[in-house]
Amino acid sequence: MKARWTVLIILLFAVVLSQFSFSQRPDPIEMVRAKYLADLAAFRDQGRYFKKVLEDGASSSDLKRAFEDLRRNFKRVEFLLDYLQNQDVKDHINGAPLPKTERNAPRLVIIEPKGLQRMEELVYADSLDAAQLQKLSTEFNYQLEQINRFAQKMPFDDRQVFEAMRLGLVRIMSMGLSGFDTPASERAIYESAVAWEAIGDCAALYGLLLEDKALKLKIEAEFQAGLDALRAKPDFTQFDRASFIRNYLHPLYADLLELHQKLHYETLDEVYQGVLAFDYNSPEVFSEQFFNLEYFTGLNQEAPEFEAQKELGKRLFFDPILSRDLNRSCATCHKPELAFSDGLPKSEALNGGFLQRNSPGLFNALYAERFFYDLRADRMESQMEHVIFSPEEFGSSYKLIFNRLDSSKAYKSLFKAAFPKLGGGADRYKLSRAIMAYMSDLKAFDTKIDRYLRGERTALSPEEHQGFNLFMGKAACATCHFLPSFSGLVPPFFEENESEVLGVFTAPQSGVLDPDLGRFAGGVVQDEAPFFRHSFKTPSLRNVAFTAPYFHNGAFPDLRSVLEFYNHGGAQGFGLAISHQTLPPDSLGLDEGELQALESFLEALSDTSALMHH
Amino acid sequence: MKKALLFVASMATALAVQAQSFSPEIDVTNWEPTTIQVPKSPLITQYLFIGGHDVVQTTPTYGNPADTALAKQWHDFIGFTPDNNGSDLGWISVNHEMVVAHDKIGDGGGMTVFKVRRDPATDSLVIVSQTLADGRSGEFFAVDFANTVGETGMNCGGISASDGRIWTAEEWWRGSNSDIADRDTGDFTIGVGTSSYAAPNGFPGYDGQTIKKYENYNYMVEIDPREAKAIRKQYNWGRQPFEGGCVMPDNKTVYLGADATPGFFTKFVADNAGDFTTGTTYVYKHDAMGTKWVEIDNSDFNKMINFNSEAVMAGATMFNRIEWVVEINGKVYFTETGRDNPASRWAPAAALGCVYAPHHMQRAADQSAEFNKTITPDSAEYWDYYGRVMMYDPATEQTSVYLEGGPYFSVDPGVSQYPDKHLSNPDGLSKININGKDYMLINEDLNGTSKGRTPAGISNRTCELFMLDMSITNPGLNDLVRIAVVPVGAEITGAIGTPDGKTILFNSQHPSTSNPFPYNNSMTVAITGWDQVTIGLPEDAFEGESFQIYPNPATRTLYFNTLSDVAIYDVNGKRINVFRQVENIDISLLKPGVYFIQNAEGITQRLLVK
Repeated sequence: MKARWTVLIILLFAVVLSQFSFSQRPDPIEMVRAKYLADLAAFRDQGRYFKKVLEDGASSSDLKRAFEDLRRNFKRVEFLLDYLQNQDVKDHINGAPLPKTERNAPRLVIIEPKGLQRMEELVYADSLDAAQLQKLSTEFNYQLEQINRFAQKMPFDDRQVFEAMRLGLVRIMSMGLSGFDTPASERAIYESAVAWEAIGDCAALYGLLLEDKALKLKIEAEFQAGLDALRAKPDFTQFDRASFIRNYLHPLYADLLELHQKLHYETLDEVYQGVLAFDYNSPEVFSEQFFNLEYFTGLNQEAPEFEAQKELGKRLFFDPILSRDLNRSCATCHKPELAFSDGLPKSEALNGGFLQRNSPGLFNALYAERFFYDLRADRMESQMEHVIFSPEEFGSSYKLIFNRLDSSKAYKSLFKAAFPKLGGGADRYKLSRAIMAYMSDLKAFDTKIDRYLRGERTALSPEEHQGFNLFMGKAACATCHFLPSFSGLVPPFFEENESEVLGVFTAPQSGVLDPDLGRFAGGVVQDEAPFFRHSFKTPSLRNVAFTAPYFHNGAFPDLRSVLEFYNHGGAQGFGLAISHQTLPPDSLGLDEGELQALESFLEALSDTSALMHH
Repeated sequence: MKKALLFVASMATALAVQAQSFSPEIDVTNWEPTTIQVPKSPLITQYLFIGGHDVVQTTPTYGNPADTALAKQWHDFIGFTPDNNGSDLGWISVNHEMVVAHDKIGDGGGMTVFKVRRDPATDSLVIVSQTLADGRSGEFFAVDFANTVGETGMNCGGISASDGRIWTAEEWWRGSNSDIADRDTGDFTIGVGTSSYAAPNGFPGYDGQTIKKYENYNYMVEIDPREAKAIRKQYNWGRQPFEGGCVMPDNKTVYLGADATPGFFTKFVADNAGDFTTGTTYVYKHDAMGTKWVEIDNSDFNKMINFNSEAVMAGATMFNRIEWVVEINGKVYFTETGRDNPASRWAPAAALGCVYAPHHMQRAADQSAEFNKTITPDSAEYWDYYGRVMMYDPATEQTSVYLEGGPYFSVDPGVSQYPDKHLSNPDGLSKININGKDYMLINEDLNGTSKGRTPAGISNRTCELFMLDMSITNPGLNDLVRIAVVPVGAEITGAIGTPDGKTILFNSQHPSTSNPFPYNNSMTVAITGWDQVTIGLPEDAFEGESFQIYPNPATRTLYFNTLSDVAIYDVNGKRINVFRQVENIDISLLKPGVYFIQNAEGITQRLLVK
């Protein structure tokens, strides 16, 4: 098999070389492109075939087989298709099986779920809703037709192929192995193998161009070994994801970057003037460099004044000067020793009583598209502003704060040092920028889990190892707490935050739905859709061990109570009728040992090294 | 697998084109290349009004005294009112496209106005301090809607009439009190207000009518930019999800667009020039016998409140989301921004007798031919990804496509080349007359990133501002000139030219927080000096066949005489940018200094950027 492959590649070489006798080396891009178009056409043809099988009234097993083939066709072309036509894939091909709102529309328009994931739910349902499936299948085939049509005229270049391959690896890790896009079939590992092989084939074409054979052989060996691992144990609950990521996926993410650079193709930063959420030039996924803080915050960490901004921010964070009566600071509800949460179910309000929600921890908090449990703030300034103005929190105003800051000699010079190019006194921008600069230090990217997945000499305990695999598999945590952020930041582009409807109770076993409407009531007009009722932001789980009690209402005292709630299948699992719950209502079937393993894993997801600077 | 690879081999033979590989470094020490100079841009860029940062003066509202507040964000439309009787240039009115409760400015959306004059030495704009009749003093003023006409919501587009009258459009369609951010949701009586606050500015003929609070939304609302307060909601133009409009030179006729699918095209003709409180309201029906305008009786208030159903009953012509409307030389142009698959949105109205605009029927016929099946605009398959600029000719009463968005079957522009060959979902539309020449200003507002609307791998929406020389007959996408001097990542809205042709004003709306201050806020930007520069590429820029570069310093664009791959190297010979298959590139981000530019054939020139 391997030998024949080599023969074929030599043949290809001959063909291509004859075309480019003036050139030193063959160009893989057109091979990749031709393969892409051929795979896309095959995908479309399988879509038509599936519809025919459905219309012929085939047996359930035949229908499932045709659907599995359709998914396989998709997985073969996914790494390029999802890169080149990302929005089409999200909208029409492989979006989450949940309703959404229409983008950029002058009124709220709800779009019902469609695409492969919704179709899968129907194909695997106990009784077949053939009419509905036919409708979805017709729409799917039309969109696939359009995608094929447009793909014919869309060239792409080597740089883009490399981006697609590396994003493809991230997608396999975060969306594939976790079963995110196979809601009913449990075929996640089989499908990951298909996607993996497609990327490997593509990388091999580029490997041929290398004079340095060591890297070529390393890449080929890692893809082959990874493929063997995926094929050897494709059972969804049994697959050892921790070892797979550490041994094959993570090293390849670095190797493909090295290959890209060695072949002298331009990189993203040379063609795009903006900033993306991730840094393509990071060789590692589980590291601080992977996420682009600048994208999320605009902070320029290289600026000479950045240290001064951090210092000012730190002072402001701990100084009650921001509150009207000088009696509380940010740190009142964000205590460093509790990973910047406050240990209370809900934080204390200024005039007695409690605030509406629990105080979240702040590690990695800046790496988000929207803020607050209900995602109502699209920027940090608005988040801080809420606290400053709220009569229950700081009860203050900008006027008061700016007057105080401007009349303090010490602050005047701190502001000057932090913003040497901006004139004037304290203002909203400087205030929020400085606090964000301070918060940029509250990073947690170096947990034991990160070190292990990066391939460093760190051993996980058997429980932690099992816990990670449960998190990614049977316990279905990683379908919302996506790797590598362990938050609702959606891979592989990391440009949106997801929220989920769990049906959190007023107390762990109360069976009473917490009345908080969450995102639906956040005042964002585009969020006023029924499926955002009781929907809350998916927080990062890094340092989660320190931020009890849990959930937006702080009603769950410890990790175990949270895990048990999930193990039951959320509110619906407890038998409560709540519409649009995004958590499957089935029990996860985790036993005592497995719950213990998950807890050990979550505790290992800790990195408080940033506190050393305090 | 084998089969596929063999197929690959045969395809590769047919298609292969080798891309230029640019070395990561070049030696820049031992030769004297040709030098291209890019002078400093003669344009002056100013950030006039920054949302969430600049302070606006407010009126006594909801029991709070007159005060100051930080301006609202989400800038959209800009209106310009010339100061014909004074020595200043004029007033600028800026929409805030949002709904948010605000104790001082008032709930809902809003507007901010300020006055500018020209600095005689530099032509740059200077904000003028004013004291208004209501006693407010300062530079920026929140327009008082709450105490005049009731609140507004989602102030998006509007009308900037040539005599300086300004209307703001309320776009986000309200179906019930539950979708408005108002805290007072009591019934609203025109000319009176609600039971808890007064909004005395009514409307002749409709005063005393009581409506639900949400029914007091979705009008064109006239404001007085000089006094920073609303004049009236234009109830006689109907309750519609308005976006744009224009007043014709007769000062009687108004054309209006509604942002919906179906979106109807409306006309109002005043009885007396300049008085828009009495007149006749029409909706456009292109297949009507005789005149194409069907009257909707505005003496019946219910017909105005339920304008949409009246238009449907009249069998009006349906468009796919009309945005802004502008008059240029007696013709009416409007943007139809499009909706990817509109079928279900307008099929019900079609069933009730509404008709599709002729160009949609033509598109459906073209798509039928392509798909080899019958496709009508209400078919699930019917697509409208890119939108277009339409023209309405008052003489013939016919609409036609003026500039089609796209191109369809696009060649993906590639990151570097974007957006020169694409016009996607045009939205804002306005004009500027520079040295006697008319230009159209077109703003994009993308409905999505698929089908080539943004380059692959960049999922961020990037919206652009284009200029189009109106003297070009049958313009195409290549005639668009992109205005490159804009903050990175900003979405452009509201572009409008000052009457003296020197300044283009536009808003950078809700940019991402990752921009440095002030670009991280919505803001109003002025770019001045258009009367002093060359726009686009002059016809005689190139001579002969050899590789040539023409720099346009104003828009920071380098034009090439052939389509090529190019790479830019820094002064030390390190590669910093690569552009694939481009005829021009934007160099607005290159700091002043020495660079080298190499084309696909390896020809290298020195680039001196000032």
